[in-house]
Amino acid sequence: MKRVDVSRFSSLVRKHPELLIGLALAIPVVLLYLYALTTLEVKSKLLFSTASALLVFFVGAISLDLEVGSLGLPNFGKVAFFALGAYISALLYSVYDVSYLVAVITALIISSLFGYVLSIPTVRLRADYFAIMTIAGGEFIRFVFQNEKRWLWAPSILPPHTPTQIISNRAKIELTNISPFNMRLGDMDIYHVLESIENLLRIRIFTALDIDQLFVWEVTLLTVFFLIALATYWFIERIRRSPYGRTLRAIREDDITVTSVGKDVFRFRWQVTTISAFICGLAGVMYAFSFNAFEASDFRPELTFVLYFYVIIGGLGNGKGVFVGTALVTLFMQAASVEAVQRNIYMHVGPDSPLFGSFLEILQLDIFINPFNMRYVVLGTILILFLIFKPGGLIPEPRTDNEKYLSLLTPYERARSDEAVSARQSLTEKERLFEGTEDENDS
Amino acid sequence: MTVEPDDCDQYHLEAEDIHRHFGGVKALDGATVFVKKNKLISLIGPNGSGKTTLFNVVTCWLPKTDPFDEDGGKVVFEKERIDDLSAHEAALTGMIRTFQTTRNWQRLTTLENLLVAPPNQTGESFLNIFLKRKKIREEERKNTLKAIEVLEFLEIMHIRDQLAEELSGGQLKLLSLGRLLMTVPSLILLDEPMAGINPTLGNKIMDKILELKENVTIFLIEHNMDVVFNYSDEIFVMASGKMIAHGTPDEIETNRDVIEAYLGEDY
Ligand SMILES: Nc1ncnc2c1ncn2[C@@H]1O[C@H](COP(=O)(O)OP(=O)(O)OP(=O)(O)O)[C@@H](O)[C@H]1O
Ligand SMILES: [Mg+2]
Repeated sequence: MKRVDVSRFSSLVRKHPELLIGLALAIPVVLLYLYALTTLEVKSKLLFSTASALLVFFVGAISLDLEVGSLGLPNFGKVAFFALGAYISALLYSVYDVSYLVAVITALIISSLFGYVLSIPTVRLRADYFAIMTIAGGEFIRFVFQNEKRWLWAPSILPPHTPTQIISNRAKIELTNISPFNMRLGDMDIYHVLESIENLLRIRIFTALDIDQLFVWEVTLLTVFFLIALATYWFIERIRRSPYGRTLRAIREDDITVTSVGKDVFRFRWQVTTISAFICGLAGVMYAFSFNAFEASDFRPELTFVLYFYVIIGGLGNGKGVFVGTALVTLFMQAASVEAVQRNIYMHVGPDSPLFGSFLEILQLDIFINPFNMRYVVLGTILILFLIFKPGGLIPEPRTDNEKYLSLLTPYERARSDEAVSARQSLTEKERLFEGTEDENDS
Repeated sequence: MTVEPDDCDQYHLEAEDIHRHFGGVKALDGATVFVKKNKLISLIGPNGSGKTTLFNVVTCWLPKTDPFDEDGGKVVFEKERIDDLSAHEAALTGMIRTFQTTRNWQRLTTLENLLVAPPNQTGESFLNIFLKRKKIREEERKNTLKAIEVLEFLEIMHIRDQLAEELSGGQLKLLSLGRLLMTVPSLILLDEPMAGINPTLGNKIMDKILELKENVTIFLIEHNMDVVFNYSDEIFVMASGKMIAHGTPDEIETNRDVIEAYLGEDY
């Protein structure tokens, strides 16, 4: 029996070599995460923050992937849309007393407008210059939020209410205080259902993970986030599979040819940056719920770069890849930030380390290395390795399948074409050989 | 051999007195062409004489002249001035071009390369993706059928499922031709479709092009003189941005200017 399993696995690996790389990355990450879980007193805290980060960043990452993966437009200013979504929704609701729904819609509209504006230079700019411009655009937005005191700062809670940079997120604070959202799941009737599932399965999984300690608002928020993520995924895959998405890929491959058959490339570009800005603004609104209060420095360019980690490691141009990339990187980042992990998994590099100690003393090097302070080094190295050896990522964009089009034909129409394909395929090899000798004779 | 527009009705494309400068280089210096309907018109000339530039200006890829010049000539297609259109708008009028170096969508299959081409598809409008699914399906079916016809016509059905990046140079030339046929053009401008192609395939491409002539006007840039003199209805000869001759292949073959400027003494 065992042998069968092994051979099945090896044939699977032969078919999908990505699987090995994926496992090589996933196993250490999952082990680290499990270790992090065991060190915690209330494990569901980490589970909640992981799940919400995963969902928020997944929404942000697929909006980026629509631009980079499908259209070939390297937007490096994604953090600006997170900032716009978070700031505008929070400011309007907590400072200007607008209803939360209106606040969110306004945030999304402004975010989309900014996305449209960003697309205008693409008429003339090459992709690499576009990338540089968008970094600047992202920083510009951050500086505006940081420095525009009259409109974009919030009055402090304590008198004399001088404006401060720190925006308190009233929506979240209220959500966490209203009943039944402020209750723990363990105190709710629903939890008995989970308990009976546990008893049925005879695995005390919910107890082991302290699910009863979760707040109702946490569960609600996760459910909403999950639905948003699912809808976004569906929406973007729908675009990709349509003729619209096909033209996007053609623009990615060569925009000049697309123009030459009479298509307005700019129309596709501004529509995609606008839609993507809308979705990323939504991710920003969601992101705000990670904070009770936030400020401009929470929206540094790193946030954009992390999105690129997800997309490139996972695989450009397809939602599944982006999810896998986001999941792997998020698990790693969350596990690395747990205190016990930082304290217990470390290496000391300094004068008293073996072998190189005296050399390090000369260099005056004395540091602790742990997963947390090495996180960008680790991710950066993996990113570079991927870019060199596996630019398609863990789950590469699926090779386009003509089946989708051919299945639209009647069996008769189809057979005619298929026959021609197979008939010529056997012939072409001979033809090629023949043509090869002919060319040699000519020269 | 002066160019005279005798009967305007039969002209499909007229480009009169076109100027185009790149800095100090006068790539086009008053070039004039008249392309008759449903004919194969060739444009020949030495390297750098401005043939590609003329194509670029006529199809609105490049503006005429440079910013300092006022009058760069006029381009009339199907009796309407098209000078001010953008490149994609010009293409929508039915005037489709290929490029001297083949351009294709590398990571799309041959079939998809053809399917992208038809202009104004229902499924290319954002809202329609969600609202008009049935219509899109029907259109996709129609386009697929047409693509298969084109593949059959060009005899490249066997590369239907291959990615464009896996094709040979000659296959790519045929694919560009196919893409252009998917757009229902009324005038096609071919920039050296035979360059780098073996003579057998070259003749095949030429035969295919001739078959199109019933419905389509063909404007061809080509360096292969056998092809040009065998197949053309009329030939324009360019040198240094000017038309130096125009006539039937027989007339051109005996034209002294052409022989000096282009074909060489020993031709
Ligand atoms: N984008 C450009 N910028 C500057 N100069 C250009 C540009 N395009 C063309 N030229 C110049 O214009 C002149 C005509 O070039 P063009 O490409 O039209 O020649 P051609 O007749 O197509 O030649 P070939 O047979 O080699 O393709 C050349 O001297 C070339 O250097
Ligand atoms: Mg040329």
